[in-house]
Amino acid sequence: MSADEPLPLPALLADVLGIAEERVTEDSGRDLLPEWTSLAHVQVVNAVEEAYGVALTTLEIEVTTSVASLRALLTGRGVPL
Amino acid sequence: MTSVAARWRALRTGAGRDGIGVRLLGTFTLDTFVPHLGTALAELGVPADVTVGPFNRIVRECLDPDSETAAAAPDVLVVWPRLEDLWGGPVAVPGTAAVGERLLRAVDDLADAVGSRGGRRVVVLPAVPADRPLGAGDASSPHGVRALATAARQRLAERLGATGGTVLCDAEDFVRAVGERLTHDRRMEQLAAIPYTDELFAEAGRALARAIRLTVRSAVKVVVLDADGTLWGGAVGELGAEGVALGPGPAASHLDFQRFLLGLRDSGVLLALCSKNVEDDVWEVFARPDMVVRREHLSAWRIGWQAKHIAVTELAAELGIAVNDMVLVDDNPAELAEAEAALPALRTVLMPADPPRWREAVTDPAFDRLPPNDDDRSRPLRLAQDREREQARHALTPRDYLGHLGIWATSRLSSPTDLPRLAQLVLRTNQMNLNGRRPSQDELARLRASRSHEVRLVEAGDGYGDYGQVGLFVLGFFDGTARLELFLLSCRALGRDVERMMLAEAFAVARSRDCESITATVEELPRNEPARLLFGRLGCAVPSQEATLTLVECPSHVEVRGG
Repeated sequence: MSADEPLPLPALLADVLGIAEERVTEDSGRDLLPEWTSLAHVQVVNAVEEAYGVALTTLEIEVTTSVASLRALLTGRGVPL
Repeated sequence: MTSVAARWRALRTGAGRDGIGVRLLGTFTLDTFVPHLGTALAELGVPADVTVGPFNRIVRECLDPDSETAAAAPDVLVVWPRLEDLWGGPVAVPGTAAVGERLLRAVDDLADAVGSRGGRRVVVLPAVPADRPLGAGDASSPHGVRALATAARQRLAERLGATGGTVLCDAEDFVRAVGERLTHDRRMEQLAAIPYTDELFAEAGRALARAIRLTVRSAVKVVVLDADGTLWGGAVGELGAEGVALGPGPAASHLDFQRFLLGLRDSGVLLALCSKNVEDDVWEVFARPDMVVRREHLSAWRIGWQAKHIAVTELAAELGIAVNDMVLVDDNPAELAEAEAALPALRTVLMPADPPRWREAVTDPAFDRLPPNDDDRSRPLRLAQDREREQARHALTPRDYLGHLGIWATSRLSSPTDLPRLAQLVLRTNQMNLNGRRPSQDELARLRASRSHEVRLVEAGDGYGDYGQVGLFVLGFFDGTARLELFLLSCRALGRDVERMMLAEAFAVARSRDCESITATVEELPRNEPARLLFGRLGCAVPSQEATLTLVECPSHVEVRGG
């Protein structure tokens, strides 16, 4: 992976949340990870948008609060994950 | 790629807790700004512990002595209001002066609260709001958003810019740097009261870090200049003095750079030269009539073949200025790398190979400085006077030397116009500092107006020149007792017994108020050993314990002039 290539989604989330990548599973989300606070969610959204070149709507930011839902949204936007 | 959040976490866990304490207060959510500011400060060499105060509680946090911010006792307070929030709701369709008056009242309340707080402060001048109810017609309205915002920004700058200890940082600069389209995040504003994008926060972090550094680190006092490729184009050793380029053409930019350097010198920055050349060749170039910087503008020089870090070290010793207060400007990256490796505290700036791009070099944070005051401007003159004193010191015994200097000092009641200088002394003085208390300019004004206090300003000098307004002391009078509450003397006047004159004056003032004794409490601070030694000899043997001072007479070699 080159330095300019975005991190895979679990690695990106682990980096932003400051947790081990093993803890990031498809089920992981704001309900299961205490580090994924409301403010950390802002950082998650900013990091995802920057890494994958997408822009989320306000509603998407509000409801996309798990790895699975983020992956579904990004895949739907044509981001190869 | 590592996120700014991860970099900030790594800094916090790896750097220990020896950084400065920075507290953020804003009218919007600033938590996600913390990593941007913290990492930018670390990159500038200012490790910091950055915390955020309660959301939208600037005034209360500043005024309430029991507030969280008061308890945190930060080294630097950063206040970032947004005009949209001070407006108290959505931007109203303008058309009346009432909106503007309400906004100015909010600005005044904020300025009063921030100004009342002591210590170091950075205040962000809020950006002009992007929302314009009149759209293209906004600029035509005297009550339009731009007009009202401009008035509010000007009021805040006037109120706080003149307050000692406050550094202003303009959010319009952040917006200009990233562009209006990348500034606002309407989604996060709606969801989390975070109105700005990460891009804006990153830019703001870099700018605020520079402003914060201005409050805690001294600005450069000496610019050490390379010659070939920096002051002129080409190498004098190869081209000769007449052959080096100073224009016309792109090389004329070297002369623009030299004019910039003279501007620095006029504001009190010393110029020094450090060149690997034959000395006569260099002076031959300086003798050219088209040179703007002349030999007499240089305070010191090293011309020869020694390594630059050695030359810089020698220049620092000769000028009596620490290496970390110097910046080396050179067009050769290898020379800068060598000097940086040997002298990590030295600031370095690479002069671009293309002469007209010198302006980019001088936007480096190394050139950041606060507006110069008279004291700063007189630095080149003071240096010349110090050199004359030094010659005398070598020729005389220590006792004869002090007598020879012809030292004089005055102590007078301070006036309102002295307040900026008093506040500056409070912030800058570390060595001869009784207790490290750093009251704000507003607090000093209250002490000055109080009948139970005397705030006295001390000016001193000698036969070689004036030291300037170098000291202050504050006496409080309670139930027939005088208490020394502040005692500060600039290091410029240390070793000349001016501090003993100040104490003798303090006793005279106390007697005039029917107080026979003075009590004082010396505190142990990182750099106030001179104060602890002085007050230790006068009865304050144990720091943090109040003691009665031994009577002090003014030394015979210090002439007390009428205040």
